[in-house]
Amino acid sequence: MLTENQLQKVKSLQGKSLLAAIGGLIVAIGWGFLNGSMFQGLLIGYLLIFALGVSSLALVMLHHLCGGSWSFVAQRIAEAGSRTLPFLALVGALVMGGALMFSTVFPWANAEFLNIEENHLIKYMSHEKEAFLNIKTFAICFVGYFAVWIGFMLAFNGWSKKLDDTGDPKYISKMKIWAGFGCVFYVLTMTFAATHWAMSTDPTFFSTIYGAWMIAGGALSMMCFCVIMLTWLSDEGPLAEKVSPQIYHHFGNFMLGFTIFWSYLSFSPFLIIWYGNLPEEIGWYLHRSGGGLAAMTVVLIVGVWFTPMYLLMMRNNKTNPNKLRKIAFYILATRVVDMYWNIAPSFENNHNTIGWGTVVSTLGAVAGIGGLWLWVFLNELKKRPILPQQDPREELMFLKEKAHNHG
Amino acid sequence: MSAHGHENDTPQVHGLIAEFDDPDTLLTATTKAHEAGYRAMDAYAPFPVHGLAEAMGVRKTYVSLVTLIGGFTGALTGFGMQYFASVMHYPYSIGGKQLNSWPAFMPITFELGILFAAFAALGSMLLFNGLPQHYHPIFNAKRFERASSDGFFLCIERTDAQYDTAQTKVFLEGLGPVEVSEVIE
Repeated sequence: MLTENQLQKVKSLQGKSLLAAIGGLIVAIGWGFLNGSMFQGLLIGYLLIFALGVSSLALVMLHHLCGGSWSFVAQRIAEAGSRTLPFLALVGALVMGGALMFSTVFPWANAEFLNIEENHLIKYMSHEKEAFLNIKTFAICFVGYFAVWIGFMLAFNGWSKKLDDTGDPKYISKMKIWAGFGCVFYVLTMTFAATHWAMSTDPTFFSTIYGAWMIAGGALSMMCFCVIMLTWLSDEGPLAEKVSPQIYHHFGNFMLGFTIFWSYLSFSPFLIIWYGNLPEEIGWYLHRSGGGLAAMTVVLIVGVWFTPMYLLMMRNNKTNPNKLRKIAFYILATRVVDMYWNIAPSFENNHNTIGWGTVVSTLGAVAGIGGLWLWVFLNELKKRPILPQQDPREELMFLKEKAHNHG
Repeated sequence: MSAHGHENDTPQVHGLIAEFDDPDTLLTATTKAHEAGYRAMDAYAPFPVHGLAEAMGVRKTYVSLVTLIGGFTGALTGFGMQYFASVMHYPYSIGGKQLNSWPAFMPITFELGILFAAFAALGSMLLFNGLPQHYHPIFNAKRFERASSDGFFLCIERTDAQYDTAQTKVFLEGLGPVEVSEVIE
């Protein structure tokens, strides 16, 4: 369990996160309403925060499939994160329902848009897409995605609770088997969800790697979030005994890996489309090549790919919790830039220009939805012991670290 | 210090080696030897023991710097090669694209960067370690072949400033070894 001091800390952060949420939502909704960018900002902010919840579920499944000491110490953080999925389903329904009804965030949902003959966008949109991009399919799939994720979330959290109570290894083999299926379903549902929720903001664009791109970004966010939580909660109590520089080293390696994976997934569709030089493919990139967005692309290359990669290649930065925590905060901040770049220029008012209206409502939405999410997350985190209680794998997982801590 | 003494009496000695039963004892012994001020020492184990390098006192090496320089050299070479070929030596417009089509150059630039960095890392590691080395006295140590199956060894070398045949032997024997013996050059 968390110690008394830590519970105090958690409570005080919960208060602060509620304040941030109220401030952020006032900005996102108030400013966004006046400015017309409300649902644009809310969608970008939601996708950033949603990534934390759904990647938590992925981390839980990854842990039961092939994890070790590093995911053992983060298991309860990931489980608490996965239990925010019902909250995220609710917020998602509000954000996307609103976006479909009251705005042009999803142009395909607008009958007028589909009928404009001379619209340069629609000219290149294959009409077969209409079977997937319509409100009815969107709504059914939305329910379907969350049904899958929440189903897995309930199953894994249930088995984990039973393992805590009984220490019976049969739950471990259950979790191991279902984690395999879960990872497959996770990638499939995320690919479709990313297409529906993010890629369809520009219905002419198509990229099969897009879902993986979102998964990589989300996994990167989750690794950073875990590092921040572990440094915050391992000052005393059970985590203090388990969390060693070795564990941070593992997380640092994952952050490095996902940074490189993210950059590969970002660059390769561009390279292929740029090479192909076909008018029906290039629109998405053309909207990101002018105005301040060219500069923002350079920021992405230097600030989101090169800088973290360079910092994370140095071992000292990965084994030192304070340094790694700073890098984790930095990467989380760059995730906002990345998600903005990825989605905002698809909106008509932001083609080839950084729309400051959308920037402000995005930042408001990140603080607003993020604050609410953090409150729910911390509430869930308090409910269970901070480490698994009777996991028979524990000793095996910490064999290597034991030798290390000894010295 | 008995530098004078051992140079005349036992010039053919490489050092003193202690054999241990398990990695934990080796790690504790190494930590204690470092704390006692010994620096010229090496530990041998059949598998990587976490923290052993740190216990011996890791020094900053130049391998990382050489690797970085290698990486940038490789990236520049990769880009320069393509730039030279498509812009200077044989300008040929493909698909109406500009001659300096840098996005197309990126994969090879990145790959040569990695390749050169890897070569620089391997080469500088070998160089700084003085490898390849065809003879090393440590193989004269008693039962040293077990370092690749189930033996854990700590050798304090004669070149250490604090080395003293009698005192170092007593020190090593206090660390709970199976056996302490001399290694002949």
